[in-house]
Amino acid sequence: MEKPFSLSILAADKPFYEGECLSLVIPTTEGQYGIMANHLNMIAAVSPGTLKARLWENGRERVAVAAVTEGIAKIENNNVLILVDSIEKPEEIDSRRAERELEAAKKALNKKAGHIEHSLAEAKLLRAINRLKVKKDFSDNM
Amino acid sequence: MTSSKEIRDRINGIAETKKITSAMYLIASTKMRRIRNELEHTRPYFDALRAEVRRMFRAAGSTESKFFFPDDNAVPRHTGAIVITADKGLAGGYNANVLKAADKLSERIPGLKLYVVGEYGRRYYAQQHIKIEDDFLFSAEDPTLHISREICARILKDFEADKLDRVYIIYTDMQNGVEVKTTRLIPFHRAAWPRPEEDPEKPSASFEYMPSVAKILDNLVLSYVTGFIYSALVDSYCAELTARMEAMNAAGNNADELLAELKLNYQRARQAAITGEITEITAGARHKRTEAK
Repeated sequence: MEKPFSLSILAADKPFYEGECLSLVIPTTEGQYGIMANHLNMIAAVSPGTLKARLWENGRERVAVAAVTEGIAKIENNNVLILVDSIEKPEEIDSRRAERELEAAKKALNKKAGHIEHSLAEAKLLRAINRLKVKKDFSDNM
Repeated sequence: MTSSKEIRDRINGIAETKKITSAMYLIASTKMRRIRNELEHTRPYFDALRAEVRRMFRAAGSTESKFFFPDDNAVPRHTGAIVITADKGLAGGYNANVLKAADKLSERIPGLKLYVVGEYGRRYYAQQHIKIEDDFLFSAEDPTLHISREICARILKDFEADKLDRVYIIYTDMQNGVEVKTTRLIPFHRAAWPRPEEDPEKPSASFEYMPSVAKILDNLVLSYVTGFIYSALVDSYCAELTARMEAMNAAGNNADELLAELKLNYQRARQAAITGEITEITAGARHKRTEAK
C-alpha cells in the first residue's frame, strides 16, 4: 500500500486543499513532475498547467484535476506545500470566458508592445489555453 | 434673541446632517467587514509566500536578478513611490497623514516619481501643481487582486524600462494601530529580512532547487510584489474606513450635543413668546375693562 503524505494547496484568493495525498503531478518550468511519499526535499517553480493529484480522504482515494498558474511547490519532510496565483477545478472553469481571454491575449500579443506587456500577454495566453485544456479533458472523461 | 423659527430651522438642518453621518458610519462598517473577510482568505497564501521567498533569499548566495541583491552603494537615479490615499474625504486625518508622509519622502529624495492611488491624493497634487504619473489611475475603493496585479505590472514595466530603480510604497498599516508606513518595495533589501538566528522557522533541511533559485525567484516576483501591494491596499482601505467611522461617530456625537443645546434654546424662545403673548392679551383685556367702566 502506498504511503500518504500531507499536502496543502494555497491560492491567492483562497486556501484550496489541506489533507493527505498519495501521489501528485505538478507542472513545473521543466515539465510535468511527479511526487510521491518520501520525496527528496525540494523547491520547484510551478508554471501554468494541469495539476493531478490522487487524494487520500477518509481512507478512500479520490482523483483530482485542476488548472494552476505560476507559483512554487515546496517539499519538506513529506509535507508538500503548493503556492499558486490561482487554481481552478474543471467544473469551475467558464470555457466561454476562457475563450474570450484567449482572444484578448492573442490580440495583445500581435500589438507591438514593451517587454513586460509582451510577457504579461504571453502569460495570459498560456493561462487561457491551459484553462481550456483542463476543461476539455474533464468534459471528455465525463 | 433669535426667533424660534430660526432655531427650528437649524435643528432640522442638523438632524438631516446627522442622518447622513450615521448612514456613512453604517456603510463604512459594512464595507469594512466584507473587505476584512476577503483579506482572511488571502492571508495564508501571502504569509506562506513571504516565508518561502525569505528562506530562498537566505539560501541563495547570490543571484543575477535585479530585483534582489541591489548594490547598496549605488546611488539610485530614479526613485518612485506609490502613495495610497482614499477616493473621498471625510475620513478624519487619514488622507492628510498619508500625504504628509509622501511630502517628507519627496523632500528627502528630489525628483521622486509619484504613483498615486485614490482620487483625493490626485486632487491634492493637482492643486499643489506637483507632477504625478498621470496615466496611473487606480481607485482606492474595493481593492481586488486584479487591480493589484495591474498596479504591479505597471510598476514592473517602468522598472524594466529603467525608468525606475527603486520603489517605495506609502500606505496606512492597520496591524499595530493605525500608522502611516513608508516601505521599500523593490528591489528587496537584505536588511528587510530577519537574520537566520532571529528567525524561528529555521530551514529544517537543505533543499534541492529546480531549476535554480534565481529562476524560481524570478517566477515569483510578480506574485510577491502583487501580494505586497494587495495587502497594502487592503490595509489602507480598512484604515480609511476606520478613520471614516471614527470621524462620523464624532460628528454624530457633536450633532447630538448641538441638538440638545438648540432644543433648550428653542423651548426657551417658545416659552418667552408665549409669555409675551399672554402679557399682551391680559394687558389689552385690562385696558378694555377700565375703558368700559
